[in-house]
Amino acid sequence: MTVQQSEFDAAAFVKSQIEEIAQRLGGERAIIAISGGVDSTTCAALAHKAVGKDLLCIFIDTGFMRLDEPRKVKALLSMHPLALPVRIVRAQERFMEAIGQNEDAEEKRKAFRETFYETLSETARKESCHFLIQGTIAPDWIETKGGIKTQHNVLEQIGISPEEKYGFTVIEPIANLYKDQVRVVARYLEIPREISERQPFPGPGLLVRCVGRVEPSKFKTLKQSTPIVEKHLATTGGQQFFAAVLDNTIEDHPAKEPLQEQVSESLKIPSREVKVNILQNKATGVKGDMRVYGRIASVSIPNEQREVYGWLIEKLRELQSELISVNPEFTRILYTIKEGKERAPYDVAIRAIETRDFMTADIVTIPWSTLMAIAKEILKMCPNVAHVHYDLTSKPPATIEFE
Amino acid sequence: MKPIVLVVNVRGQYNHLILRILTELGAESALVPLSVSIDKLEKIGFNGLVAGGGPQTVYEQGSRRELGNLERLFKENSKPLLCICVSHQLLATALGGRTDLAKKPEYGQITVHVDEEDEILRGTGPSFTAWASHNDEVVHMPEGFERLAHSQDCNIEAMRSRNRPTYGVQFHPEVWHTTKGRTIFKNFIEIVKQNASGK
Repeated sequence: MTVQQSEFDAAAFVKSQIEEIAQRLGGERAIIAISGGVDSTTCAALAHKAVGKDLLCIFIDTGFMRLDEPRKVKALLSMHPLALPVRIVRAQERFMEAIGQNEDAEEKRKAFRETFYETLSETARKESCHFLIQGTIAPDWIETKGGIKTQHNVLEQIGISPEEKYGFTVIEPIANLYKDQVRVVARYLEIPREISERQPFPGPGLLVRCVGRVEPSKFKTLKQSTPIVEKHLATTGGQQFFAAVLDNTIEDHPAKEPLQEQVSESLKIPSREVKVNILQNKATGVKGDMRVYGRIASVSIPNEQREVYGWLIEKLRELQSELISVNPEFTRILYTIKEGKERAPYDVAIRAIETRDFMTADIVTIPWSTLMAIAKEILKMCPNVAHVHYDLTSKPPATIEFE
Repeated sequence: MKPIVLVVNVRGQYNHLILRILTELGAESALVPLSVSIDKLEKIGFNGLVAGGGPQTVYEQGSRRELGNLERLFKENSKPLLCICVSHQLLATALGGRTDLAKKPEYGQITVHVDEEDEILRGTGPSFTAWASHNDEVVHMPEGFERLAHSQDCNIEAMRSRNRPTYGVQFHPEVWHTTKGRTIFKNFIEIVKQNASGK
C-alpha cells in the first residue's frame, strides 16, 4: 500500500500561515521547541519565514532522546536551506527527577508535559518571548481531548490556559493537519528529506517506550535496541518502526489457560506446545473510542511448528483480533520471535506499522528472516534481555506507542 | 455549487477525519457541536449531515442524555443523513430499534459483506475490508429500515431507511484502512447533490 496524496494545497497553506504568524506576533518575539521531527521543523520554517530573527529555536534535551540525537538535529537544522539557529537546553536530570518511580503511563506522560512546559516557560521569560509556536497536529489534540493519552504539546484544548500558567500565547499553525499533509508542506518548503520523510518520534521520546518504571539498565537496553531495529527496518518497516522495552515479569492470571486453549485451537497446535505469558506491565489501547490501559499477552510456539506453516503472520493477525475481542482486559498481543536467558530482567518488543494519518494503523508483514536477524542481534548486544517479541496488534485496539 | 455537508462531532477519534474526507471530495464542510439545534443548522445552511462516532453507550442514561439533542436532530431533520458507529446505534435506538453489548466486539480489521448495493454502498460489493472499533451493536433495526451489509461477528454493519435518505454504518468509512470508504462518501455526496437539486 502506498500513501495517497490528497488534493491538499500546500502553496496556499504556507502563504496564509506565514501571514497569520507575522500578524499575530505583531513585532513580538516567539519561542519554538524543535525536536528534529517534521511537525516542529515545519512550524519553525514557517515562523522563521514570517518573523526571521524574532524566532528563538530551542532543543530541550530531556534525556529521552535517541543516541546522539541532540547534536545531529542541531547540525541538520543549522545547515542550508533551513539555517535555523538552534540552542540546546539541557534538562535531563530535571526530567528524570519528575518521572521518578512512576510506572503508570498517564502519570509518566503528565509529569513529562509539566516539566516540558516549565522548562520552556523559563527560557521564554528570560528571553522575553510572549508567544510559543507549536507543532501540534490533529491526532495530538484529538487523542488528548478524547482521554486516550496525554500528548506533551496539548494545553488549550483541554482547558489549561497557557497565558496564566506559563506566560505565553500558543500559536499552532498545523493543528488541523495530519502527518501526511504536514509532509506535503515540508516538501514544499524544501525541508531536507531526512526531516520531511523522517518517521515520527514521540514528544516524550523513549520514555513511552520504556514500559512501566524507568530504571537505568532498562533504559540502556532500550537505547541499545533502538538503532538495531531502525537499521534493519529502514526500508521495510512501514511508516513507523521501533523497539520498546518491557519487564520480564509474568503475572499469574486467570486468563492464561483460556488464552492458551484459544491459541491452540485457532493455530491448530497442541495446547501443551503453546506458551502464553501475561506480563505485569500494561499498555495503552483504544477500544470503541475509549482509553483502555490493558493487559499484554505474549504467545510462543515451538520454532519447528512455526516452520511447518511458514511465517503464519495472517493467522497470527486473526488470532490477535480474536483474543482481544473475547478478552476485554487485553490491548496487546506479542509473538515471541526468540528467547534469550530465561531469567534476564527485560523483554524487547519490535513494532512496525503501516498508516497514512496515524489514526488507524496496521501491522507490517516483516519477513521472518529479518525479525530473526533483529532478535539475534539484540540478544547478542543486550545480555539482560529474556525475549524478543513482535507486536501483532493493530490500532485499534492498541495505540501506536506502548504508553 | 459545492454541497454543504456538516459533521456533528460526537467526540469520537475519527470525527475530524470525516471533515477531511468530505473536503477532499469537494464538499464544503465544518464540525458542529453535539448541542447544535436544527434551527442553527438551517441558519448555517446545509444540504446533508454526517454524525460521527463517540465513546458513549446508547442504552445508558448518562450517554442517552448527552446524545439527547442529536436524537432530536435525527427526528427533525429531513435532509440526507449518514450515521457512523455510535450515531448508527443511536439512530436505531431512537427510532424504535435496539442496541446492546456486542457478543463479539470488533476492533481493527473486519470484512464487510454487502447484502444490498443500494445508492450508499454502490461500487463496494460483494465485500470489502473495513476498520471498526465498537463494544456495542445494533441488534434490532427500527421499523422501515433494511439491512445493507453484515460481517462475521456483527449482523448489521449498514442499514438504510426505506422512506428517507437516512443511512447508518457500524464500521468507519472515514479511516484510511477502510478500502471502500472514499466510495461511500462519494456516494453520499452524490445523494446530497441530488436531494438538493430536488431530483
